[in-house]
Amino acid sequence: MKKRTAYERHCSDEVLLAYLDSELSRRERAAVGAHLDVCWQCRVRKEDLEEEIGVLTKRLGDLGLPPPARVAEAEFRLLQYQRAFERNLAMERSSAIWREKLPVRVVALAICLVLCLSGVAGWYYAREFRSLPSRGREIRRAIPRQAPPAIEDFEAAPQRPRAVPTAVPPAGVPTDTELRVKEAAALYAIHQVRACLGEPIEVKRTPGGRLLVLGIVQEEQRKRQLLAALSEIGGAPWLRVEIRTVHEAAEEEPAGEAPTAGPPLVISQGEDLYFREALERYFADQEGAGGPTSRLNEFVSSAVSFSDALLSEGWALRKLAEHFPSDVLAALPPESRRLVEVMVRDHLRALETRAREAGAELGPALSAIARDRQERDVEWTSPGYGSWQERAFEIFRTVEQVRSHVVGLFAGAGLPVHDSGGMLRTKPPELTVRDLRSALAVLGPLVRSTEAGIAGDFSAPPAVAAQTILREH
Amino acid sequence: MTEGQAGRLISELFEASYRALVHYALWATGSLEVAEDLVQNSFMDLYAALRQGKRVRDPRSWMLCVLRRAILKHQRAQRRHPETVAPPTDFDAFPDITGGTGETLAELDAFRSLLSALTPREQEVLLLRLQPLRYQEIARQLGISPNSVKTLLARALRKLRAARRAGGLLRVAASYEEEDGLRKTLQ
Repeated sequence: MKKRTAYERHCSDEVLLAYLDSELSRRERAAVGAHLDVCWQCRVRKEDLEEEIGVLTKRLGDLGLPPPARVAEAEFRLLQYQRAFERNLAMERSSAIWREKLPVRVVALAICLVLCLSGVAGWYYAREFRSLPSRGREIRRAIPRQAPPAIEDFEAAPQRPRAVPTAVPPAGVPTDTELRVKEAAALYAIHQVRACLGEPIEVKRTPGGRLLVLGIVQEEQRKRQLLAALSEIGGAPWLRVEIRTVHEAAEEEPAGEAPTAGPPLVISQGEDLYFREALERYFADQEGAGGPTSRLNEFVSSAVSFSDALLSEGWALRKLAEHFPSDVLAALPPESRRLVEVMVRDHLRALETRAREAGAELGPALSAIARDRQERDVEWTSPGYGSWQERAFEIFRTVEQVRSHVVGLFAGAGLPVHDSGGMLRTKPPELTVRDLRSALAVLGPLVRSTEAGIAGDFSAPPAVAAQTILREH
Repeated sequence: MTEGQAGRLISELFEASYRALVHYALWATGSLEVAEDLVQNSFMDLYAALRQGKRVRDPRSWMLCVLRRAILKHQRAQRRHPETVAPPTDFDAFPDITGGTGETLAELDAFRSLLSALTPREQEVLLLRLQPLRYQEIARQLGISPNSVKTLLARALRKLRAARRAGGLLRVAASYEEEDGLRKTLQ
C-alpha cells in the first residue's frame, strides 16, 4: 500500500481497475487519483482499460439477447407465477389454519412439558419404589403376623417367641379369641343398656391387636351409665374405652346424629301429605278421642316412630351379624356364643313385637288407602333357612324399606326412588303404599322364622358350623 | 415480506439484471432457452423465499447463488445424459430464439470467440463483473478472495485488449493488402 501511495510509483492494472470500479478505500483512491494527475503513462493505461470495458459492454448490449419480446414474455411468466404462488399460499393457509393457531413452538413446548412431568412422575415413583423395602421392614416390625402385641407393650416383651405360633403369649398381648370374647362382652354390655339401638357407639378391633370402644353420648348421666356397664367386663391393657359426651366432643368433631336421637324429621302437616283425603275419610269413620285431624297427626307421628324403632333394631341386628360372621362365631367359646345369641334373640323379639304393633297400628289405615285399588295381599313364602347373619341383612333391608317408605309418605322426606326399566324414578305414592304394606307383611314372618331357626345356629358345634360355612359358599 | 414488497423487489431486480443474468447463464450453458429458463426459475425461487419469510439478506446475491447452483446441476445432467438436454449447438434450428436475425447470431458468435481467448475462470469473473457485481460479491460467489477477482479481471481485460489490438492490426494489414490489390488492379 505504501508503495502505491507514493506519487512516483506507477499503478498496476489491478489497482487502476479497482480505481475505476470504485473498489478502493478513500485513502488509496486519493493516492491513485493524485498519481494519475501527474503520470500520463498510468492515465493512458487507465483509458485503455476503460475503453476495453466499454467495448465489451457495448458488444454484449449489441447482442440483443434475449430479444425484448422474450424479456417481456419472461416478465409476464414471472407475474403469472407470483399470482399462482399467492393463490396456493392462501389455500394452504386456509386449510392449515390450525397449524398457525398452534405454532410449532407452542406444540414443542407442550411436548417438553409433558416429558418433564412424566420424568418427574417417574422419578417420584422410582423413589417410592426404592423406599418400599425399608417401609416394609417398618410395617413388619409394627405388625407381627402372629398374636400382635399392643404397641406400648412391645418394648416390654421384645423376646416374644415369634416363630412358634402356639406358644402362649405373655400377659397383655391378646389372642384373637381373647379379643373376640372381649368384643362380645363389650357388645353385650352396650346391649344391656340399650346403647346398641343407633347411638354412635362403636366396638372396633384395630389391626394392632387392640379393642376400642368409642362413643359419643348425649348426656353426662348416660356416659356414667355406659362406663359402669362396660367396667363389668373387666379391663385389659389392650382395651380402651372412650366415651365422651357431646359437649366434650364438640371441640374436636361434631356429634354423629343417632337415628333415634330426637325427632329429626319434620312431620308433614301440610298439603304435601299423600292420600290426605282418603286418610281423613278413614279417620272420620273411626271413633276415638279427638277430631279426625288430630288423630291423623297422631297416626303420622306413630308411623314415623314405629319405623324408627324398627330401623334401630334392624340396624343393631345387622351390626351383630357384621361383628360375628359364621367362622368367627364358631371359634368363640360357648359362653361368648351364648352372649351373642342372647343379643340376637333380644333384637329379634323386639323386632317381632314392633312389627306386630306396627302392623296393627298402620295396617288398617294403609289398607284403607289402598282399598280403592284392589291390591292383592302379598303372600310371603319363606326361603330356605340360611344363616342368621344372612337373615339379619335381609331383615335390615326390609326395615330400611319400611322406614324410607314411611318417611317418604308421611314425613315429607320425598318418595323413594325405584328402578323402572333401567331408569331411576321416584316411586309413585300408590306404589309406595303397596310396597310399604308388603314390607310390613313380610317383616313379621321373616323375623319369626329367623327366631325359630336360630337355635340351630348357636347350638351347633364348630364342626357343624364349618359345614354351614361350606354350604354358604 | 408482504406480497406487494416482494413483487416490487422482484420487478426491480428483473429490470436491472435479467438480461445480464441471461447472458451469464447463456455463457455457462450455451443455450439461450435453457439460460432463460434457469434465470426465470431462480427469480421464482427468490419470490417464493421472500414470501415464505426466509432470511434473504442480499436478494441479488441470493438469486445468483441459486442460479449458479442450477447451472451446475444442468451441466452435470448434460454430462450424464448429453442427448436429452443437449444445448442447441446449431442456432439456425431455432431461428425464433434470437428474433430470427442472422446478425444477432453472428454477433453472438463474435462475442463467444472474443471470450474464447480467456480461461473459463476469467470469463466467469468478467461476466459476473458485467452483471454488475462488486468484487466482494464475485469473490463470495466463486469462493475466491477479492484480490484474486481483481487480478483475474485485470488479466482478462489485458488479454482482450491484446486480442483486439492483434485483430485491429490484422484488419489494418488486411486493408493494406486490399489497398495494395486495388492499386495493382488500378495500375
